This record gives sequence, structure tokens and C-alpha cells, in this order.
Amino acid sequence: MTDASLIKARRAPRAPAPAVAAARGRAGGAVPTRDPHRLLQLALAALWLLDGVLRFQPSLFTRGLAAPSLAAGTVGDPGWLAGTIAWWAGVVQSHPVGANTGFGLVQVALGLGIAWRPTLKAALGVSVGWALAVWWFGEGLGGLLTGGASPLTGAPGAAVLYALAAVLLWPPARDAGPFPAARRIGARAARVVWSVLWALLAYLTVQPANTAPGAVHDAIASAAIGTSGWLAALDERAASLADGRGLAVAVVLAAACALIAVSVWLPWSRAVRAGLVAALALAALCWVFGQGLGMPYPGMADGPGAPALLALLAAAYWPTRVLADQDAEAVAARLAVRRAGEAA
Amino acid sequence: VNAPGWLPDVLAVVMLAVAGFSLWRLAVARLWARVTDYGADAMHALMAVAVAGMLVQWLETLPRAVWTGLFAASALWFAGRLAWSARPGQDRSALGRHAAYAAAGAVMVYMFVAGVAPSALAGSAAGQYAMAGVPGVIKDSSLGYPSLGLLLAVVMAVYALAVLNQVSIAPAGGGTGTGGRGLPVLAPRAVDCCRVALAVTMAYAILVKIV
Repeated sequence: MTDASLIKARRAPRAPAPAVAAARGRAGGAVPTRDPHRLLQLALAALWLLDGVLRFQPSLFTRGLAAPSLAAGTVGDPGWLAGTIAWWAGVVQSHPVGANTGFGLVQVALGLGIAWRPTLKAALGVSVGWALAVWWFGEGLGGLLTGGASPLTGAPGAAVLYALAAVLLWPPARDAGPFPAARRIGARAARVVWSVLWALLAYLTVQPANTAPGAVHDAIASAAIGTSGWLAALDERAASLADGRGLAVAVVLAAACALIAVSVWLPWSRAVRAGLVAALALAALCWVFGQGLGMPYPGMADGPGAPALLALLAAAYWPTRVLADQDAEAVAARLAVRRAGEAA
Repeated sequence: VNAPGWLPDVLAVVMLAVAGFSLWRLAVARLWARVTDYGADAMHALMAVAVAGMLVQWLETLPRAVWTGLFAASALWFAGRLAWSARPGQDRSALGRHAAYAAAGAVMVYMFVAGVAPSALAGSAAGQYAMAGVPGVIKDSSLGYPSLGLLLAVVMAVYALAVLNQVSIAPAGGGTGTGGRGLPVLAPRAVDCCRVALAVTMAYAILVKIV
């Protein structure tokens, strides 16, 4: 939106609508912005911006920021990883205000940088390095090495998904592709990435710690603590339903993850879309029941959470208009044949 | 639990700068016969002052009821402009902008009704051993309708990025366009920066009261 289209002429004759539209076009206001790849980049920018703004919540400036979220993250991690996390926790605990301010500013800058086209590549590049650093020091590699990581509680970690999204949404090398994520690294490589990700989630879901009778109940109940009234009621109800059914829920979740993993290889676009819709639904379930919408209400949200990134990635695999155009051409050809037959 | 005192102060100063810039645009347009959208600039100035007053105690502005009525009226006015622009034969290029300002007015009404205000807690817990959710720790979570607030904060963040994306695709110098008798429009990219600052600060003001 530029001010060329924001003009109300003063002391001058009112410009006719076509002239205004032409001026707007000259000013760049009519540049098309519906490219799905760009829209997904903007969605990624929005997640970074929200991540950064949430960093400025009052509770995240306290020393409590470092103690529970960083040091507790070392439980179950191998020594070499726990040592680095503990070292970083010490640094943050020593300077909680400065550290948190720095985190917030970097993440706000990443969001704005991705949205501002001249800095897009730089921001995406920095975001990959930043996200991987956060994944290591802040998330303990998403708890993958603890044996207790579960997609329900945010595995494999939001940060690594930020990095993955930045790579997949890097300015495309191709003008078109079957889906946005394929435009940079190619369709086959992008599908491999998707399948590996969801196969990993399926594997994590059936780990012994996640199939215990009370595992799912405990995960959901902990997400309900301190949340808003309606969300707490919803989570508590779900937790009571899942109580004692940890194995059954885990098996169903793992099966769903496995189906989602293979869905992108199917030759039928409807089946691909169904798999992606299932991925979106599963991400939403994990977000609501496993993570309390990222826990914004108790003031502990330092980002939208891994499910939001999973949803973004699912959108990046949604078949684009290239397929739709092919379908349209096929339909048009069939119609032409039918009309020719009717005319004959 | 309360934010460090400097944070709302800095944001309030930024908002006052936005208000001052908008008022300067209005004055320049009037005195030097430049073109501008008076409604948009006035809206920016009002919103910036109101948001600054929601962030810090030291800036006492109008009573909340007056602000609420003012923004409700502005939302209706921009909604009316939106409806007028949507009529056949009218310039439709401003539809999105009018819709955005109508929505911004509605968000401001929400912020006043829901209770976005400077923290009533004395001092700050920044740098201390305290954490929300722990018994005994006082939270400044006075926001009404927090779920709606969360949604609106997301909307404001998305709007800020949409503005930034749009202004960054305008060709260099082309973003200014020309108006009236070929006079350059006043620093349009600066206006877009003001929109971004306003939207991000509004999102912050809402989020900080949810916790």
C-alpha cells in the first residue's frame, strides 16, 4: 500500500478513477503479490515477529527464564549436550534482561527482514543460523536425545522447523513447481524432507516414554495449567479421556504420522491434499491439547510453537496452480471434445 | 511480574514520534499545498497518542471513554468511506486501506474496552527470581477477552508485515508517486514505517497484558 494510492488531491481537480489507477500502477501498487512462495515467506516472517514480540513479555525478563526452561531441558540429555546448555543457562541467568532483550530484538528483526524484500535472503540466512543455535542451546535439540520427546509436546523443536522452513522457502531457483517447497530444492528432495520429518514424528510417538498409560494424560494436563478458562476446560476434558490410554493414542498418532509421511508421494493430487489436511489437523490438535496454544496465557510463551511451523510446512507442500492449470486444461480439452461431438 | 520500566518508555516515545510526524505531515500539507490523506494522518496521530497513553503512566491523555467513542466514530467513518469506495464508478484502489483503518479503529476500541493500560504494579521483576504461574507471584494480567486479544495481536503482526512487503516492492522513488499537480506525496515510505511501528506496538501492548 503506497501513498500514491493514498492521495486525496487538495486544491486540485479530483483525478478520475482510471488516472488514479494508472498512477497507482506506475507507483508499484499494482505489483502482484499472490505468489504462494512469497505468501509463505510472509507467514514465516509473521511467526518470527510474534516470536520476538512474545519475548518482551514481563515474565521472560526474570531469572526464571533461564532456570526452568533451559536448565530443566538438560534432564535426560547426554553429558556433552547438557554441558553446553547448562553453560548457556548460566550466561542467561547472569544477564536475564540483556539476554532476553537481545533475543527479542533479533527475532523481531528477522521477521521484519524477511518481509522487507531487499533483506530477504540475508534474513533467511541469519534465521537458519539463529534457529539452529536456539535449537541446540535453548531447546536441547528438541529433546530428541532424551527418549521422551513427543510431537504432542513440541518435538522435534520449533527452532529446527524454523530453519527447515527458511531453507525450503529460500527465494526459488525455478519459476514454478508442483508445490512451493519444491521451487528451491526440487520436488524429490522436498518430498524426502517431508517424509523424513513425519517418519521421525511417528518414531518418537511410539517411544516407551510416550506409550506409558499416563503419558498422554500427563502431557495434556500440564498444558492446561494456567491457561484461559475455555482452553483449560478443553484440555482437562481431553486429559481425562486419554487417561490410561497412552498406548492406544500413541499408536493412532504414529499411524497418522506415517500416513502423512507417505502421502506426498502419492500420484493423486486429492490424496496429497488429504495428507496435508491431516497434517494440519494433527498440528492443530498438538497445538491445542499438547501445548495450550503455545502457553501464552500463563505468560510462558516464547513463540507460537512447533505445531505452527508444521502447519506452515504443510502449506508449503500444497499443490500449486501448476497442477490446477493442468487440471483446467484437461477439463477444457474434455469440454471441447464434448462440444465438438454435440455439434456433429 | 512487570516489564522493565525502560521498555514501555521507549515504545511510548516512538509512538509520540509517530504522532508528531503525522501532525507535521498535516501541517505541511496545509501550509505548502502538498497532497496527503488527512483522515489517515489524523488517524495515525490519534492512534499513536492513545497507544502511548496505554503504555506509560506518565502520559495522561484523554479519559478512556472519550478515546473509545473517538475510535468507534473513526472506525464507522472509515467503514463509510469503504462502502462509498465500493460503489460502482468509484476509485476502488483505496478499498484495502479504508478497510485497514476501519479495522484499526475497531482494534483500538477493543484495547480500551478490554483494559489495555499502563501496568499498575510498582517496580519491575526484571532480572529477579520470579516467574508467572508460580504461587505468590503477582501477574499484571488484567486484559478482558484475552483470546480475542491474542487473535488481534496476530492480526496486527500480519498487517505490519503485509505493509512492509508491499512498500518494499514499490520501485525506488516510485513509491512516492505523484498527486494533484505533480507535487510529490509526503514521504510515503515513512508513513508505512509509522504503520508498521503502530501495528507492532499495538500487538505488544495487547500481548503484555495477556500474561
